[in-house]
Amino acid sequence: MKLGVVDFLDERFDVRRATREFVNHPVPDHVNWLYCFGGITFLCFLIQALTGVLLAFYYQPTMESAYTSVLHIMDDIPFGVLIRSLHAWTANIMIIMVVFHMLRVFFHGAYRPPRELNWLTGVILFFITITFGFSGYLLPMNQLSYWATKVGTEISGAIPFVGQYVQAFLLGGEKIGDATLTRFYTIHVVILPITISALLALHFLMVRKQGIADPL
Amino acid sequence: MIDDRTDMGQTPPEKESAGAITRRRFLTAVFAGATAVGLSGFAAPLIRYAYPVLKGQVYAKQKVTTVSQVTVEGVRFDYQETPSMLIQLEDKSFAAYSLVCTHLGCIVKWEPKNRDFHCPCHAGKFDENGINIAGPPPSPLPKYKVAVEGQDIFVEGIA
Repeated sequence: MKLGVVDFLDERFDVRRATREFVNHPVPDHVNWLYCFGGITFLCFLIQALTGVLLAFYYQPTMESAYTSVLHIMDDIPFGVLIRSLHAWTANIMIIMVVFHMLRVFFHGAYRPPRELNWLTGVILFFITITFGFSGYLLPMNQLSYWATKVGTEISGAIPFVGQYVQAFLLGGEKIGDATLTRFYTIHVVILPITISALLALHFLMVRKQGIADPL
Repeated sequence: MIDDRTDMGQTPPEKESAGAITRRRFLTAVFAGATAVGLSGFAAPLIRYAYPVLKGQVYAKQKVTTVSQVTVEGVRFDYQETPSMLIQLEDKSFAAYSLVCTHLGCIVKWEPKNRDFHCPCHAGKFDENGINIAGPPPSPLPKYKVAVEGQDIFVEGIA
């Protein structure tokens, strides 16, 4: 029966050949465990996407109920502790893995031509990951979130000339409130996921096309 | 068997006739089955998480005792694994509370002589209405909804 399904798909989409090419893709001999950090980062991203969607089932982005909805997830929902802790820990691990991946590429000189554009998308992906962390930090709306966001937005307010406009744009008003929370939530669950998905696709397509860089 | 091992990779794979269980098919099925079991192990908590917590389960109705059995000592019972106590108030009505101290979670004790609940850990006190009257507890004992039907006394959920 299982083979029947595969045959059905194979007749229509030639999946056997596609899978064979995918899994038999040759990898150069010099590749070692240091080359895993990019993949681990992507795994972190997948975990974040899955647990993030699940958290959105119960999380409520308002000043009044953000904190209590997080407590509700932690105390009342079965496996809520697991899902939220996975999301919080994986967020930290993802940033560490991004840094390791970047250092590996940097010290191997893998950013050199013809791979400049892959380095460029990688740097943008790095900043997107950081922004994910910053916007997600506010959402539980505890003391740490509040003051971190206050500091963060005031730093943006210190930019010469445009600072006050950037700050007002981020806060959605004059101080941290419902508007800030819905903004950060929208950035965290709509804007950044779409952006990161598109850039990840580019990042992967480029490395697939150009192959892994030769050793120094 | 020995032949198989010595020229591994050189003997052609066993012929797969329809329906026959070859080694390859057997291993494929075992691997696919193990993968399916493993993946469902991951999926189960996620589905349980997404499925709502229903009020009917949270506030299930539970029979505690009958009217004639309630003494000044009260009636000790567990409601959804929470140690709890049913007492008769001065005005003859019934009240039931969770015995988990609102300070640090010790189990408080009903003192019939003083008609209050006493916490052995930090000497917190709650009166017969469950109100915190002395010591460190920050809030009253959680109170249950009590229903008397004929001779039977029920509790259902936090009031």
